[in-house]
Amino acid sequence: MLVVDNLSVSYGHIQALRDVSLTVARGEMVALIGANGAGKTTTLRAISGLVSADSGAVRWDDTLLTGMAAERISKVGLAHIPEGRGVFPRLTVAQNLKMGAYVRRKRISNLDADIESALELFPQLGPRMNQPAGTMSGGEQQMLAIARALVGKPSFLMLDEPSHGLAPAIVEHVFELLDHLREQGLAVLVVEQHVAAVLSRAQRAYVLERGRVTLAGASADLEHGRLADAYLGSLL
Amino acid sequence: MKRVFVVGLLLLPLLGRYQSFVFSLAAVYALLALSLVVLTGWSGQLNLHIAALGLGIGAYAAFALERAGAPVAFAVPLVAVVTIPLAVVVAAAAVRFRGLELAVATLAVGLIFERLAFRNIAKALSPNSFSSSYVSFGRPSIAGLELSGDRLFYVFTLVLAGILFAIVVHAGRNATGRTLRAIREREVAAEVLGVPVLAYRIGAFALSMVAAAIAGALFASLKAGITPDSFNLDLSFTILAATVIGGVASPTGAVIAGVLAAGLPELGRSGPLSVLLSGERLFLAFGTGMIIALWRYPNGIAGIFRRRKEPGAGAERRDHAIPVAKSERRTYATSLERSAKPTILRIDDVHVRFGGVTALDGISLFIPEGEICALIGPNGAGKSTLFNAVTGLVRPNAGRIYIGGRDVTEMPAHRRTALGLGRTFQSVEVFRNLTILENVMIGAHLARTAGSIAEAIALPQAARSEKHIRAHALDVLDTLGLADLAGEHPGDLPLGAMRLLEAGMALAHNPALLLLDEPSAGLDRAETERFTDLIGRLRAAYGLTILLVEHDMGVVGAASDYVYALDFGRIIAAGSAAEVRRDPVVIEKYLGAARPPAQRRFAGARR
Repeated sequence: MLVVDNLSVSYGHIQALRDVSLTVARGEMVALIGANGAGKTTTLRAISGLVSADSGAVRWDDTLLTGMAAERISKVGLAHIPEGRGVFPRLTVAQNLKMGAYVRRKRISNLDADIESALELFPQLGPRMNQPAGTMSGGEQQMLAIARALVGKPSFLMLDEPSHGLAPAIVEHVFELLDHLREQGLAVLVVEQHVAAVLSRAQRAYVLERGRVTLAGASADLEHGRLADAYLGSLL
Repeated sequence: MKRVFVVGLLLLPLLGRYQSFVFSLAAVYALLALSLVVLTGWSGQLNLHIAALGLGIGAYAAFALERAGAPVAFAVPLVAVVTIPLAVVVAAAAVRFRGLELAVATLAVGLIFERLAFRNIAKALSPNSFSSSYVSFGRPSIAGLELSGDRLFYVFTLVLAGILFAIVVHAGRNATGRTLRAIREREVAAEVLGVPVLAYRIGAFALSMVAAAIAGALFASLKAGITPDSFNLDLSFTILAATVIGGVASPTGAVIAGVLAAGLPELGRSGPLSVLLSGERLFLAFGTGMIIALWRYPNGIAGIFRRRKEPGAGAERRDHAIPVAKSERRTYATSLERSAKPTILRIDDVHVRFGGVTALDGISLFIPEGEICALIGPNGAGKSTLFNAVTGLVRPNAGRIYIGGRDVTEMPAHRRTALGLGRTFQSVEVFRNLTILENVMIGAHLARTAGSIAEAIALPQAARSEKHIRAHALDVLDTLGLADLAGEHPGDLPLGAMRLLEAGMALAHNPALLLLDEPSAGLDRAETERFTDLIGRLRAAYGLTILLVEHDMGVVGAASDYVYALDFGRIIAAGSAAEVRRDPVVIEKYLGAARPPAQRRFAGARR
């Protein structure tokens, strides 16, 4: 279980997060929503160690992640798929996927089978295995970024706007896929602008506003407006 | 910079023979550093062997001119003229390389000059010289006044260097400098804004070589003789390190670099600092200084002073709301009406293949004037490739593209921009090293009425051109509600404002046809709605025709008159948004199994 406890982050003198607390359990998908600039991406970056926190703590089960280097955090089993893909443009799709296994160097037994099963999730990538990733369309690179993270067999998956640049049918497919991974016991934290789409799949959601958690609850409650809130209304 | 020149002249009565020599050398090295500022600091190119590929070429050119009978006083400035053709040839070859490759190429060519060409020139021109490689060179005389006195030569050097500095400073302060910095940051974005990128890169490389060549002629005259070894890699490294330490982005940095490169070796000869700076230790000092500068002070000593002047950051975030008049309901043009209007864009059976992958497989479509047309389709369908083919960033393997009836298939991107084509990118291509106003001014590049040469010699038309462009850019920012932020850098903007800025850069060159690549990607719902409204307002205000790639069917439905759906590089459906949305093939390939309407983002709210 991921526990974020009173996390505060600032960039220079701009306070990006103030006392953010949230939890994500195994087998649970949690959505993080809010307007652009609210601090969603910063939250993910603080969890994965890409920015350091001023105060507060992040724990995965009994391991304290706060202050740990990002590459060590990824070896604990945490995968972060940032917005804007970050695939290796000159490597082929196949090489990109193999890089996904880097975090488990010592535990590679059946890499080919894992890549195979990642490809099953995105059949479109199959025929492109030997193509440099940079020559694919933006949406295909997004698929590759997700597939590559899964090859690393993470136990906690964070996605920053997975729908960015994806066709509607693929967006649906990605959320189905996340739901499927969750059922298999992964903990999933998603930042997403397609609020309705993510709320229909996530169990719980947090609303972030100017660096603070202003609302939290079951997705169904948020989605159906039982938690009346003008701000949330503007997001839906 | 003028002050530096005046101080340099005022120092004259204080200088003895030795000091005059060192100060002249400082001016020569400052000129050489200036050539690196133009090349590296502004245009982002590298020349690792400036001592040979620049300084040495100028020195031997001056030597050749002198042997041909030109008086030294004329030979030195004449070097600028005779090296221009060579500089342009070398520059035209050099710009085919980038980054590391360019660095290695300049090193290789520079070494060939140093070790081979210079020796052969010396041999050919003075066969009777007692040493095969040393050649002597005279001091200039002007109007019978022999400049052999070191103080007079110092004045000669200072004036010549001063003129070149003035040229570079003037060009740098205006559109030329801004354009080069934009190219350095994002070449492709600059090209589609109408900047002839290749010409600018060649120009910067050639100007850099000519400045270095003049420095070389002065150098030869100052030293009264040269050998190929005068232009070795040690000197190139010293100048490069001094320029990085002084500040590679500004002429002020070049002056500091000149003083350092000429002064530090002298301080190493005697005095308290000789322990640190004598002999080989000099390289340790320059190397360490360069590493510290690269690590902590990317703009060198000049940058440290400038930073103090800048006001502190911390501008508050403002809401970039566009004052929006709700657009009235429009009726969709039927296919018949579409073809009755004049066509602004026609794509005729275009094929694009990358290696074995077919990205566009015979696309034909047209867009009538004044229409807002959307392009939808699965990822990898070829939408962005189609944009790139229209804007000239990829060449079709077959087929033709017409803009306003003119065949543009073979035309480079910046010339299509001049025809009235503008675009934005999926990945938001703004110049983060320029201010928001300067970004839009790059967009107005085509409105320039003064060329780089007019700017360099500070003709009044250069100032007028800048004023006009600035006013136009401010107008555009005003329309978009970004005028308050004109002086800030775009790196801190929220994504929604950044996309507005990018649209503003395209609007600044008054396009007739605007291509928007996924304008709503990454925007939150409020920003998306604002941008959707903006699209309609732009058409009304500027009479634009707009083609957009978009995945948000809410935006497509609200903004577009006509929709083309693509898959596997072919058109699979076309019609109004409502028609295309009902199309069974589009549903199967693109929209996915029918979702309940409530889940469709802001689709219901608008219809």
